[in-house]
Amino acid sequence: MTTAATLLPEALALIQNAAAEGIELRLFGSLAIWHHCPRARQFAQARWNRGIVDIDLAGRSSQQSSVESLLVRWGFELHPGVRSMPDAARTVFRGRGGGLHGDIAYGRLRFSHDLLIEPRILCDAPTLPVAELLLLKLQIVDFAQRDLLDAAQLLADHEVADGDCDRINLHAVLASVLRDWGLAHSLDRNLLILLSAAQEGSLGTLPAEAQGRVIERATLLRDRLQSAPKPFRFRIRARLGEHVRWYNRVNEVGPW
Amino acid sequence: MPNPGTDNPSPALTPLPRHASGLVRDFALWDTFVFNTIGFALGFVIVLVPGLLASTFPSADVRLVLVFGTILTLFNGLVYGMFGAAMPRSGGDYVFIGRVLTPAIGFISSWGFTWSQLLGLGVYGAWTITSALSPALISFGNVTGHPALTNAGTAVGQPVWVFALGTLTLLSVGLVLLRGTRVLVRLLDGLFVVAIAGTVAMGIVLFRAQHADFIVGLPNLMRTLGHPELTYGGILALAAAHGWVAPSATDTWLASLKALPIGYWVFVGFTFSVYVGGEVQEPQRTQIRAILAALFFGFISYFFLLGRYYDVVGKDFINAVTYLQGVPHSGLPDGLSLTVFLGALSHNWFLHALINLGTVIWFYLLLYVMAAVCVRNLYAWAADGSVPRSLARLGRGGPITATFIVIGIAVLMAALQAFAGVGVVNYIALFSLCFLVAGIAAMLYPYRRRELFQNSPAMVRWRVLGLPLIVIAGAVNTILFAVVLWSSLTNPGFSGVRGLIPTILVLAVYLSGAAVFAWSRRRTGELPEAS
Repeated sequence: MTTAATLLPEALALIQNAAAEGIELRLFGSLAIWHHCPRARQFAQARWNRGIVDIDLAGRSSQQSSVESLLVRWGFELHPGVRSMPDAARTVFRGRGGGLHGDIAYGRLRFSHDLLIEPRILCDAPTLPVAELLLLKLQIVDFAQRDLLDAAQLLADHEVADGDCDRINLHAVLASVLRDWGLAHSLDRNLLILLSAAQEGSLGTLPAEAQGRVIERATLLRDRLQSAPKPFRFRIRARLGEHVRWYNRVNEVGPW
Repeated sequence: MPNPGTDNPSPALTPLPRHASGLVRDFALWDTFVFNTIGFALGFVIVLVPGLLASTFPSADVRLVLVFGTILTLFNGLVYGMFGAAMPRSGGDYVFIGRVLTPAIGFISSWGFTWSQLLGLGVYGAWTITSALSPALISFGNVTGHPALTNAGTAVGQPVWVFALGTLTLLSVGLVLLRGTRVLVRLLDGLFVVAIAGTVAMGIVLFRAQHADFIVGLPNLMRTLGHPELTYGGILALAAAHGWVAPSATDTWLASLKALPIGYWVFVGFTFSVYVGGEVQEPQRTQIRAILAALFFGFISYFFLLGRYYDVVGKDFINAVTYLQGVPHSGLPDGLSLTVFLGALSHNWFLHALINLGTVIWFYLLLYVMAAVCVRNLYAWAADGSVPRSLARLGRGGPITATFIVIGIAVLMAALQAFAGVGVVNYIALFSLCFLVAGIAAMLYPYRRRELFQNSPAMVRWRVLGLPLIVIAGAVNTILFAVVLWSSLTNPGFSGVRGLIPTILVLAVYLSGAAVFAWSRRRTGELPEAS
C-alpha cells in the first residue's frame, strides 16, 4: 500500500525530473500538507498510514502540452476522456500496469470553486504556497473528515500573517476569496465546521495546544474575511445567498 | 443524506463523506438541452421552412411533414443519445464510429461531417446578416415607420456588408470560444431566453390573428414596402399570371411523406451535445434526456407555430409568394419572409422588436454551437494523433489553434457565400453520410463490441422483443439517412444544388479525409489512439 512516506519521494522525483526539462510542477493536496506539516503529522500517523493513492500537482497553463508529452515519454498513460476535454486544463495519468496515479491541474484549479494559481505558482517549492494549500482544502463544499484534518494541520503548524515563507499569506487568501462570494461562503462554512470540531476537541489526535492554535488562527481568518471591504459584485451576489447555487458540481473523472 | 457537492449542501456543522472527486463539467442537463435546441436553431428554421416546403413539396401539409419527420428523427436521437451515454467523449461520432467500425471510418465520417459544419458556419454567418439582420431591420422599420431602418436593412444585404458584418460576427464567436466552456454556456443560456422570448412573441401575434386579419392587413404592409397595388388576391393573381398553379389537395399525404427529409432537416443539430460529450455532467443520463427533450420541444414549437402560420397566411399564398420569388422581375418586393408578413398581423412595435431580435439571436447562437462542435472535433482528432498534435495546443480558455483554424475557414466560407455563393456544395449530403454510417455502427455495436456494450449504462442495453433497442434505432436511422441522402442528391429544391459537381465535391471531401488519415498513420507509424 502506498502511504505519504512512500509516495512523497516519487512525487518529488517527478517534480525534479520535470524541472530538469524546464517544466515547473508543484505539489498540492494531502501529500503537500504532509510535507509541510512535520510537527502536526506526528500526531496523525494513523491518518497518513491509511494510504494516499495519488499525487496532485499544479502546473503552468502554457506547459500542458509539454507536460503531457513528457509523461507519455516517461511511460505514463493519460486518461483519454480528460485528455479529449479541451477546457479541462487537467491531465490525469497513471503508470502503465497500474503504478503511480496522478492528477495535474494547469493555471487554475477547478473543484467546488475556481482558484487561479498561475500568478503564485512559483512562490514556494516543491509545493504550492501554504495559503493556496489551505484555500484548496477550505473551498471544498463536500468537506470530508480528511479535509477537515488536513486544514487543521495546516493551521496548527503555520501562522496567519502577511507574506509567505512557511506562513499562511493572509493577503493572498483575501485576494482570492474577495473575488468570489461563493468561495468566501464555502470558506466561511468550513472554517465554522473546523472551529466547531476544534472547540469540541475532536480534531483527531492533535494535542490541545495545537487545537488551540487552530481555533485562534481560524477565528482570525474569519474575522479578517468578514471585516474586509467587499467589491460591488461580491455584495450583489451576497444578496442572493444560497438561493442560487454558489459552487461547481464536481463529477467523477470517469473510467479509463 | 444529500450529497452537498452535487445537490443540496447541508448547513450542519459537521464534515461529510465525499463521494465525488475530480472534474468540473460545464454542461448540466439544462445547458445540454439549450445547446441542442440552439443546434437546430428553432427560430431560424421557422422562418425558412415555409419557403423550403413551398419550393420542394408545395402540396405537402406542414403538420403531417412534422409528424412523419419527428417519428423517424426519434430514432436518430436514440442512436446518438445512447452512443453519447456509452462513450461520453469529445468528438461524438468520431469516437463511437471509430470504436465500433474502424478508426479510419470514424475519422473519415467525422471529417466529412466537420466540413459540413465549417461550410454551414460560413454560410450561416452570411445568412445571419442577409436572412436575419436585414429582414429584421426592414420589418421593424416598416412597423415603426422609420424609413432609415428599412434603408439600413436593404443596405446590409449588399455583399460587402454581408462579408464585413459576417466576419465580425464570426470573430465574436471565436473570441467567446477562447474564453472557455463556462463563458460559452453562460452566453448560450442567457441569449437563449431572449431568443425564446422572440419565438413566444411570434406565437402571440399568430394566435391572436385570423386569416381575415392577414387579408385586411397585407395591403398596408405592401404600401410601406412601396407596392400599394399588391393585395392578397393580387399576389395570387400575379403568381398565376407567371404560370403558378395551385397544387392539388388530393396528394397531400403522399407529398407529405415525400417531404420526410425536410421533416428531419428541421431538427438537424438536436444531437450536437454528443460532440461536447466529455463536458456533459452525468452523460449516462443527461445525453439522452437532453437530446429527446430538445426533439420534443422542437416538435411542439414547430407544430403549433408553423401550423398556425399556414392557417393564418394560407398555404396557397405561401406557395405563390415562393414561386414569385423564383421569377426574375416578378414585381414582388425582395426579402419577404415570415417575419415580414407578421407585420400585416400586428402593429405592436414591442412584439415586433422581440420577434426580430429573437430571429437574429437564433441565427447568431447557431454559429456558437457549430463552431464549438468543429473545435471539439478538431481537438479530438489532434488529441488522438489523427491530425498533427500541434492542433490541440491549448490557450487559457481552450484549444487556441483549433479555434483559429475553424474561425479562419468559416470567414473564407462566408466570403465565398457573400460574393459568389457556395451553391456548388451539397451541405445536406455531407453530414447525412456521416449520420448514415453512425446508424450502421449502432446496428453493429452489440455484436462487434460485445464487452463495451455489456458495460454500457443500462438504458443503452434496453431490448425490444429480444433485440437491443440500439440495433433497431440504428436500422431506422440508416433508412432515414439513406432517404435524406438520396433526396439531397436528386432534389435540387431540397439540397439547393444542381448537377454532378456537388456530388463529386462531397466524394472529394470524404476521400480527402481518407488521405489525411493515411498520411497521419504513415507519419506517426501507428494507428491513432482511438483504435
